[in-house]
Amino acid sequence: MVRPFVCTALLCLLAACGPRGGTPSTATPGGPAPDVVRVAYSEPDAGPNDNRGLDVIVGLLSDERLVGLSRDGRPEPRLAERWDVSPDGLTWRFALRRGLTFQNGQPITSAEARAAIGIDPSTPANQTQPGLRDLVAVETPTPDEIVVRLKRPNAFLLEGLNLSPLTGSNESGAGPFRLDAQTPGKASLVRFDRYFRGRSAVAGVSIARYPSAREAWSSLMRGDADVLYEVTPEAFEFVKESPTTHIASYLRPYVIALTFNMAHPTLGQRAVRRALNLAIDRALVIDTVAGGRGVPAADPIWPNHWARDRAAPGFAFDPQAAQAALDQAGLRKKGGTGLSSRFSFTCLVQADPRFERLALLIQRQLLGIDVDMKLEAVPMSSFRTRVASGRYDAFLGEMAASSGLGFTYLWWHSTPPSMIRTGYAGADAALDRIRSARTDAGLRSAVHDLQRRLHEDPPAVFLYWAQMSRAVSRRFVVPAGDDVDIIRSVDRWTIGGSSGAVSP
Amino acid sequence: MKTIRARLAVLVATAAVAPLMAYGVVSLQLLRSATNVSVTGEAETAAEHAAGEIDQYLDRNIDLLTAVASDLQYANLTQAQQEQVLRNNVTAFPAYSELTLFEAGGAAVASSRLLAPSLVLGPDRPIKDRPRVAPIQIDAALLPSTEISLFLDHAGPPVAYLIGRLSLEELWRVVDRVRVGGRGHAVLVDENGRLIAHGDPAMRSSVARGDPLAWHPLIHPKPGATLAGVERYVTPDHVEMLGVSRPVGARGWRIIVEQRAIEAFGLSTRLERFLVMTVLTGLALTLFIAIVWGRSFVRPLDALMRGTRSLAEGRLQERVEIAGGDEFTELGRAFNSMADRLVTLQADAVRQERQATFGRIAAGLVHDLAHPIQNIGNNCRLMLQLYEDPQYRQDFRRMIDREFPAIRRLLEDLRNLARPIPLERFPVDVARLLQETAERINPIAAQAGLAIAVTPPSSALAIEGDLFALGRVLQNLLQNALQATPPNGRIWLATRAVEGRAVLEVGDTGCGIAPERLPHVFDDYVTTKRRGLGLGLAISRRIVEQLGGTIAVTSEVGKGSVFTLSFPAIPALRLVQAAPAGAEDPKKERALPPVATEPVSRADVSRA
Repeated sequence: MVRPFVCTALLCLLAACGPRGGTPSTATPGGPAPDVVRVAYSEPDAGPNDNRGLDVIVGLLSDERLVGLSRDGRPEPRLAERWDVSPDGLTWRFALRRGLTFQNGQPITSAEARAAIGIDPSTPANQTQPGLRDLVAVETPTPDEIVVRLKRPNAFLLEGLNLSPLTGSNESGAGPFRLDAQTPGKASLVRFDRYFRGRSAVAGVSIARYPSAREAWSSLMRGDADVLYEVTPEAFEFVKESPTTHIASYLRPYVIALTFNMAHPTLGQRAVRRALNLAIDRALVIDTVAGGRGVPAADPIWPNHWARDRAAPGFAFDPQAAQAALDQAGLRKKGGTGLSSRFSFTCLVQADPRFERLALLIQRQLLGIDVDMKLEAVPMSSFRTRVASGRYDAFLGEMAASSGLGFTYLWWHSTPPSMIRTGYAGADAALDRIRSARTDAGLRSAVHDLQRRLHEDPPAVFLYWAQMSRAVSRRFVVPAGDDVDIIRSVDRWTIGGSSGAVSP
Repeated sequence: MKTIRARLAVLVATAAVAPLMAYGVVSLQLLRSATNVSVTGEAETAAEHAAGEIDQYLDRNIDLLTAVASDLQYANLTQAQQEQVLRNNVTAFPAYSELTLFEAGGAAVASSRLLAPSLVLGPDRPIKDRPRVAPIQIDAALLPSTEISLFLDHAGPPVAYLIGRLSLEELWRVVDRVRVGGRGHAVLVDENGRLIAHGDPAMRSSVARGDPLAWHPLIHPKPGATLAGVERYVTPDHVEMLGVSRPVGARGWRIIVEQRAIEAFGLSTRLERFLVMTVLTGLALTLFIAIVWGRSFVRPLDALMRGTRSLAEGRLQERVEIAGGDEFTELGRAFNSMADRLVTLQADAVRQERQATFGRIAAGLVHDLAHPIQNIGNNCRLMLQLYEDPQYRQDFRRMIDREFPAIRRLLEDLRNLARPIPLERFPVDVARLLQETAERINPIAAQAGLAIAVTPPSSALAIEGDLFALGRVLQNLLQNALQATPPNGRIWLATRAVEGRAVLEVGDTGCGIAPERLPHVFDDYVTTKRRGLGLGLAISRRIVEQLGGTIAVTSEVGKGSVFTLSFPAIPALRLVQAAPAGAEDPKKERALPPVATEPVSRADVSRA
């Protein structure tokens, strides 16, 4: 099993963090047992031995954490049944549930929890998580108790713990399913009978990678798979109408954004970034690229977060205002007519067909205000390197957000280390207020301040939050619920009948 | 009775049942015909509409590609500008996932893709003004798409061809929109019969698998059959379908609109059932009414028939009860009145007959008794005067001997009529019976100038009977013959055996009996003579029938009459066995009745 910080890093990867890419592989042959869920996913750009996407799915099924995070960003007990924090916000005490074991039978004690959190706060892994950057010590006074000491208050600690799965010896997890076998592009998991939420009705899960989303979809329609991990927008309505499957959709905690490099002489200007935000018709983008299934983004803060100011202003589509702002900034169209523009910049786009059309559409919309956005498609590895090193004018991609605020801090605070280098420091004060908030009121105020700040000085054009849809065979009954990722609840599925889950 | 019922049945059948059934059959045929036309018409309309829409969809996209080509031609664009045009159009028209320009050698010049173009210029290339639509491809994801290519002659060298990859998923939406009824859907196949789109969500996997639907008669007709436009067929899942096929433009594609027959004809089936139920209900109601009304007709007739039959059988007390207050009731009342009247008339007739009989008996008694009594009275008076005369006393005695047996016989007849003497059965020798009877009568016959000839049987012939009663019968018949036969006439007694029966024959050559009276000669109080009560032959017939025999008469006026008696013959051996006992039978002395010695007066004989 991957280490937590590796998983965190993977989640942070732009766009590629999802289970995509890889060489062609076939679905699990033969008919599995009726109580085994067969998951089909696609990863077009993965290499032959690249299991990044597979690891993510396996992690969702086999990992368990001390603390969870609800859809509105509130922490919730998992392996830790309760916790408290000292008045100064520097000492956190967590009480483990008693009698728990890993999937290999090893008891879960505070020692394993300590290992999961990471003892050295200076490790690069912990540095990628703002919640774990301020660790001073992790103590285990009893096998059931963990004490975390911080050098300064950090509101992202619980979110950091949520991203740190506990593992026993031999990478054994504590989640509802145990990894039984794994080969490139394939994995099989079996039910963990002593899972803390109870034994699953589903006996096992087999996962198979397909070279394209369409092939994964076809496997579902052929009956070779029970779950289509991701229903592409073009397939959505067809899968939705299928009598043998149903679709469960949820808002994916990834914001798609056109991020600017502040080092660019023009894009570094706040007025220009605001003008570009006004030039983008987000509704059209969602309709065209996401099949209408998405939520316009005003900022990188999770739309469902409890502390969010839902009345905060966003950027309405107003190309005239954008042009006026650019005019005011002295960026006028050069030379009258033709293909001349106010200014141009190059946008990095990862070599993923999903982003091609989006990039072309954004390009076209910016051309509408005479801004020439050149597109440069680069492979994923090159994309990461250049984004992290700041060798770009702008880049278009998907950025992890989760339902908390830690990723917002990670991406948009100027303090390194960060996976991207934008040179943006306009929101540092607001982000620091969030990090140090010790009450709900303080956190809410800080979040509102951040929203305001990001609107006044946007580091990017935050485009939309994509809605993710998963298709499930009606062989399984999925617990009903809106806007939840059903892959996280496989342990509560039952076999037979129709599901109460519906697609929105 | 049966005739009336049959007539009523025919009336109901022709007046109600047959028209109702004819109405039902005609309505069913019309309904089916109309439903067929309607359902097929709806499917045809949907298919034609969808075919037009698909054709337009393809034409529209070809036009789009042509418009893109127009943007690229005559403009002398740089490669970057060409790419920008292509990308703008791919963005604007999502149906095209890729647009790529090729040079004549096949190398890509510009593409809408940010990455390497996936389209390839193949050997089949378009010519000027003739876009080429490639066959449907099932791509790596087993989903359909096609490529549309155009020849560009003014896009500036080296550009020669523009190819666009057209996603056919939009086509699926067009096919999906086709709905007939609740679950009727459309199926789109290419010129090779390959499934392009299927409107049934459950069949999407067939599209993904590229199923050829080889079983489908509207896609792959049976060998020798032509491709039909409308067909009813059964799917491999044993579902009967109604399908309508229409070509899509001139591409060789076909769209099939199919609907479950049970659904397509569901309304018709329900209407048919309703119609059948209505007709059957109507028939049942008609038959019920016909039976009820028919019985209301037949029942009074039955009652009248029963009443009539009862009257005919003499049960004059029978009456009919007909309710309803209609004409039959009136008829019943009339019948009952008639029966009442008949009772009255019968009572009157009986009373009159009784009076007539009494009068006839009285007259007969007066007549029959008056002469003997007169004779006896006259002779008694003479006896007072001529008592000493031996001749007179002898005449007186003869007179007494003659008149008293006559009176006695008269009284005997009356007694027999009132209280018949019980008969006894013994073996009787027929020859002896005839001989003894003839001997008894012969003296009287001789007085009338006649003789009784006896013809005995050829062999011993015996019957079982009462010798006295049989003698009485024969004496009656012989005395009638004596009275009817003139002097020198012939009277005979004959007997023979015929088929196990003993036949006795009493014949004469007398005056005979009139034909109209012949059937009544054996009735009571019927006589052809001026004297007598008319009981002789009636008593004779009763005796014969009591002994298990029959009596019949043939007669011809002026030639004579023959009375024939027939009795079951018994073996003559029984005579032998019974003879000794019969000789000592105490009843032997009354074996033959006494015979009146009075000479038969021919003046008394009168045959009507």
